[in-house]
Amino acid sequence: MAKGGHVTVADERLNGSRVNAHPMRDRLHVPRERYYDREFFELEKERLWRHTWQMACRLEEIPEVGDFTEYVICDQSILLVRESDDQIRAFYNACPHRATELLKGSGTLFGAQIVCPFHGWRWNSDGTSSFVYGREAFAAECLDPEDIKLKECRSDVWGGCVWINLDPDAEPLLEALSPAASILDPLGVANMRVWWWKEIVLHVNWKLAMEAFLEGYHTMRTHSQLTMGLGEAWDAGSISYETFDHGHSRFWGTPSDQTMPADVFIESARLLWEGQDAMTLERDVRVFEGIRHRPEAQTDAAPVAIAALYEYAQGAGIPLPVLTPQQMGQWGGEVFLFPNFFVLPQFGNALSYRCRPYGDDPEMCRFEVWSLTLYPLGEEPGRAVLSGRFAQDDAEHWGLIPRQDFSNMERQQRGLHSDRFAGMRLATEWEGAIANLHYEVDRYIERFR
Amino acid sequence: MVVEPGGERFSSNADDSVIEAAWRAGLSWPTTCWGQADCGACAMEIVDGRELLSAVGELEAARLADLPRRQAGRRLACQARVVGEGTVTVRKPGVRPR
Repeated sequence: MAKGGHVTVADERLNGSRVNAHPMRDRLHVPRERYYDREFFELEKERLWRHTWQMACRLEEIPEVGDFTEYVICDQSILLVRESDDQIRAFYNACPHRATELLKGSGTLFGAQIVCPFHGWRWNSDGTSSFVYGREAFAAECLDPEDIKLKECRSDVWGGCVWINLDPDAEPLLEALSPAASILDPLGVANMRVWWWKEIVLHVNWKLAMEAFLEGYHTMRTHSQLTMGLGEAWDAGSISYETFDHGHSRFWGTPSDQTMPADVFIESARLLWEGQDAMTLERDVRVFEGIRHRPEAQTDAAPVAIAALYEYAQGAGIPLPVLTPQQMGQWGGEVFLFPNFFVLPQFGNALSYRCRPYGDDPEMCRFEVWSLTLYPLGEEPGRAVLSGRFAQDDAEHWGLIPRQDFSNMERQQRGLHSDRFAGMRLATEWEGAIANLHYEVDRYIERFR
Repeated sequence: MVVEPGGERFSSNADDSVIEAAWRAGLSWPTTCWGQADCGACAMEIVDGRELLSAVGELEAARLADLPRRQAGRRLACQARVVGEGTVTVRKPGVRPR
């Protein structure tokens, strides 16, 4: 494969190497094929997903020694196994004998044994072979102990999650997550635990589904109730955006001169709680209710409410970190960690998303949603379990806000195929994080040629 | 726990399944799935003390239903836990020191 220098499309094809036929040409447009083209999807499989750090599981999915869970990305399945209190292993999920996937879903190993369901070969939870049934029937070269070990991939821990990378030569995790991780660190994300965890499968390309969450510009029309009655007068410019290297980005609410009286502040918090049961939880609304009639909260409620929240956290043993005004400015905003992970922190809680391709279909994705919170120390819940996969209009399981978001996505995916749709056009600043994501995808496609 | 016909003895509590307690005591116990309630090879005949064992869960019930009819009444050693005080006697050929 040619690296560097000018290579024509014809040369590439002769070399049997895939070509990115739909690259980003500027930061204002996204070619529509990037969301449905099979070849582009194959490029992502080969050069993005096989080389990027990706969130494989939350630590509390495998809290006890022997716990395991499976992470699937495209055609690869990786097992995350807690070998000891402080050691997690990531194994390719394939039996060295005849390829059977060894474990599915999540569960617990007993006797620290991973057992192939086909012929009963076994491994210790460190990946070393512990038993080959009918060993005498094999030539020695087929049972070389090094060779029949389970194959590991890179793994590391950040933000309460296990991350994996299929590329043994990848840069260290924290370098790859820089600077997005360092924005989130002071907010206590490493100590947050699952409040609830749900997922949805959508007929939508994985990037398209994420892009609804890379901008707040859609708030006015999609989440009209959050404009507090302003409608089209709502100022989308009140949200600031920043894009970083490595594809990461963030947005946050710009501090405005407009202050909120207690009743509006509480109503706004209640809408977030009732609308998604995340970022703002019932517990926070209850604390805020306590300041409703305080005289000092009648013109500018926010500082009074936040002070009440800290007072409550201290009494309850909740490790709510002390923040600078700048750090606290990220509350209510969003941090995107390339390629597919989001954290939206607020009040010691967070909403978190992960979105990946589903099946082998460029136009399908699996979108997971976590509501996270800081529990009182010593009262953290046990093993986190996915509560289920729910349809986009399931009002019992999805709050109003995510239902509103999901409702646009499949219409968008279909609209991409319209004969007279030319391609996405993006707002320069407000939708810049979308272009930033695509540029990084292209960088991977180019770099791992 | 007392395991016939070998007469192996070991203690077990509600934290561990019977098979885990046996492993801890240095015994091997027939299994091919190693605790996943999948193979049924660990099924044991209960001679005495059935009431001291944990209730049969959904996973175990499903697997027990697949056992040959003549093995009715057995429990899976990888699922049953000793939750009461006293001695449970079971019959399981093949249980022996490792």
